[in-house]
Amino acid sequence: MRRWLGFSRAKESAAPAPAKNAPLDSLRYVVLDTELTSLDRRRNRLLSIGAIAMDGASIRLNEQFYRVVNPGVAVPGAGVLIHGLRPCDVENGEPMAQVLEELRSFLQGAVLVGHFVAIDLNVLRKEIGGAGHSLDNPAIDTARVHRWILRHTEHSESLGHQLETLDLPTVAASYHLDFEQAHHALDDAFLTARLWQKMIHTLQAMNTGTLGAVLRFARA
Amino acid sequence: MGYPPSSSSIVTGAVVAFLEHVPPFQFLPRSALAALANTMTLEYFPKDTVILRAGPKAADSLYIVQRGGVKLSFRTAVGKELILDMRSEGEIFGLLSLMGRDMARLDVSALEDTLCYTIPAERVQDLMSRHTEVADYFLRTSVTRYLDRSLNELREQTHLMGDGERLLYSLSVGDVVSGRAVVCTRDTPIQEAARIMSAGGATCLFVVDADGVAAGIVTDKDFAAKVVARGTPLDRPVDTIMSSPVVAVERGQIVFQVLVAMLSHDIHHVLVTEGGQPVGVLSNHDLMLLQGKSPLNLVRHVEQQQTIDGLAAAQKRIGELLPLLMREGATASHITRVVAEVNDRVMGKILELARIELGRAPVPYCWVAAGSEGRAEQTFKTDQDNALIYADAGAGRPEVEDYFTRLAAFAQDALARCGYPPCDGNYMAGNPQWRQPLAVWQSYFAAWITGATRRTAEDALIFFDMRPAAGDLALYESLAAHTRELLQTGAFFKSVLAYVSIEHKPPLGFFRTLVVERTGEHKNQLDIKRHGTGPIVNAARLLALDAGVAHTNTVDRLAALESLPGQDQALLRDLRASFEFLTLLRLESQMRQARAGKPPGNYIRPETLTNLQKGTMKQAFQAIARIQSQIEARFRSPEWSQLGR
Repeated sequence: MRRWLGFSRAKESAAPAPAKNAPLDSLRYVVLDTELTSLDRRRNRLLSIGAIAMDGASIRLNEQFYRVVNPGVAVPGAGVLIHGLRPCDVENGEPMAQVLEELRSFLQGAVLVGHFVAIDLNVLRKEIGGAGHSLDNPAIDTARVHRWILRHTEHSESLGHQLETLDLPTVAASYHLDFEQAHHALDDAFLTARLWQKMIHTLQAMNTGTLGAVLRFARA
Repeated sequence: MGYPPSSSSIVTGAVVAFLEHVPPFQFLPRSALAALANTMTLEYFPKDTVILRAGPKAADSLYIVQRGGVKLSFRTAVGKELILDMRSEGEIFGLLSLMGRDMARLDVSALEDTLCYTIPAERVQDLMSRHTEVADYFLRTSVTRYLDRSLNELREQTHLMGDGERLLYSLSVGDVVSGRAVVCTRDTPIQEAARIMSAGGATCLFVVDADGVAAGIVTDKDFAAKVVARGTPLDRPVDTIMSSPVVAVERGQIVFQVLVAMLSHDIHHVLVTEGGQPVGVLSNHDLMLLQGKSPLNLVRHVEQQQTIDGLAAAQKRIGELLPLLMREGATASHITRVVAEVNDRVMGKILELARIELGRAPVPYCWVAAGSEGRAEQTFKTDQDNALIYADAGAGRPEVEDYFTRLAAFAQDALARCGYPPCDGNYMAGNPQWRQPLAVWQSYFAAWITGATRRTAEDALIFFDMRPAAGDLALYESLAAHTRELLQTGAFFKSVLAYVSIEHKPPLGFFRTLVVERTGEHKNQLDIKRHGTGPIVNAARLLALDAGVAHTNTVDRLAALESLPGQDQALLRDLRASFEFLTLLRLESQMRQARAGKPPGNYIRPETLTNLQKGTMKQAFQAIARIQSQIEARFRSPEWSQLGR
């Protein structure tokens, strides 16, 4: 099992950025999803994060990351119905600084992948920035990948409708992935990883098999 | 492994739930499954992706199909793809390549979009060492699947494949059946039956019962011999002239099995059935069309010979036939059965020529095959193992004894000229001890069973594998019935047989310490007959005699035992696969020796085996050790201590 704990800072800073012409199946990915206090971009805080690593198209079940965080603010009750994290769960969460430190090790050198990942990146950058670090891994939005693939393959009447409904369950279902509606950060990260796994093969088949080519239309 | 452990359960929970239905992982406790899940990866292969390719690189993981399916195939020397197996959801692949740690022998590719979990090779090794259920499951799979693979290796090495022979093994009966089965009911008058047959353009007619199952067959010959020649009234029911039972093969069987059926029943028509119902007919003519050089042709060639020299020349052709049979995928037991069939025909022909030379026998006799010939297990290395039983009416009559003395001498000489050297142990009809009236034979068996000793058990081993080869079968049947009766109270005899059966232990330390011959001509070699096939033959014989199974062939004995209640079926199945495997290795090695112009022997050099073959052989030896310990527990008697010397 790959260790992401205990990486030295020296090693961390030495990690090279992935090359633009790197084939998609040669890269290390971390597919992630977060649960937040709200969707308010300026004020929301991180509640939990789930992430799973991939080596190319291979999903590493042994490299998972899941933490519930205590952001130190009151959690609005309404969110419980969505993400299932009760106020007491959040209170028992781990300190933000510690989780962020572990997370940075886990993400190191990886291309980040997520569905509408800009939302997750926004909150992570705020939290990490607050701790005096930056998060500048390249990031791929599977929703954008899906839209690009649709535009380049589908010619049906329903294209407009399909482009409107880009939520994860709908897109996952269109890729014939079976799943249960969970809204758990790790579960959703895993589902997104399975989606990205299939997309890698699709993109390669469409001669769009390098990181640079994908980032042109799917950068978050 | 995962950190924090509780949080991993969301994703791994799904994996664990899946593994709980996949053998052998289902035998593991949940906690072990969760730990295992945390070492796995999930892979996606679009349709037609080549997942593993035959080549020098061994698979580094075990694959479990989660969704979809894969095919295992290889390319023949002529570039044709042969699909050997498919694996679907919940099945595993990549294991043999992984355990052999040598080259992958087969291509594996996705039949449809396929998701697979993978487990790293070292985790699989770890699981196998920690959990015996996992090891047993994996190793059993590898033993029983080995044969196909080994034969395929041979095929791959082969460049001269006759199309005709290949068809015998690659086509199913359904592929070649052309004629429809023409049928009528039992009470159909003979004349009407003849009309039905000619209207159907057929050369044979199947007589069926009310349930549609064939009860008998009527051919042109029957109408000529039983109706016209005898003046049978044409309004008699057809079942009075039919021959029964009908020899049938199912549509899905391979054509080779038709050949075996035709050879062993000496018939020209085989009924093709589907779910027991007649659907077609295959004739020897159909098979002739499929092949040039073939076992059937060889048998026919033997039958045509009128001189010993002609027979000798015909027998040599079996040496050409065996490599062909091996290359084209016959199992070891198929091959030895074909050899036995040819040997029997040669024997029958020799006795026919003897009758021309010496005149009719004064009393009925039965020529029996014994030992490996009796078990239909001879390979390239054949010698004479036979005996003669004659009717008690001839007992004590000098002219009868004189006739059979001359007959046996004629046969022994003819067999030697035909390439069957005399038996070292003198187990031959030429030896007066094994050329006796029925009553004497019965007294022999009685003595073996009631007064068993270590020394007499050697003889018993040879003659308890007795099989009639030619002559009056009733004599053999009387002897066999008498023997079966004696065996019901033969506890001590069985105990002696058991002692002999476990005398030669398999070399379990073979691969660690190279337990092979240490000196002499065969230094550093393994006698695969003495330590491998021999102990299985002995175990199968003992268990068969004990259970009243009448077969003499080891594979038949084990298969028959397997179907009986109260038997260790898994072990019997392993032994059967092990026997096929070891016999095949022996055949392979003998074929190599024959090609190098050396006399075929039973020694193999361990360094010539692949890792996979060594691993499989080790499993075979372990199966032998298991049956030997069962035999010891069941048949051990206090007298064993005196049997030693």
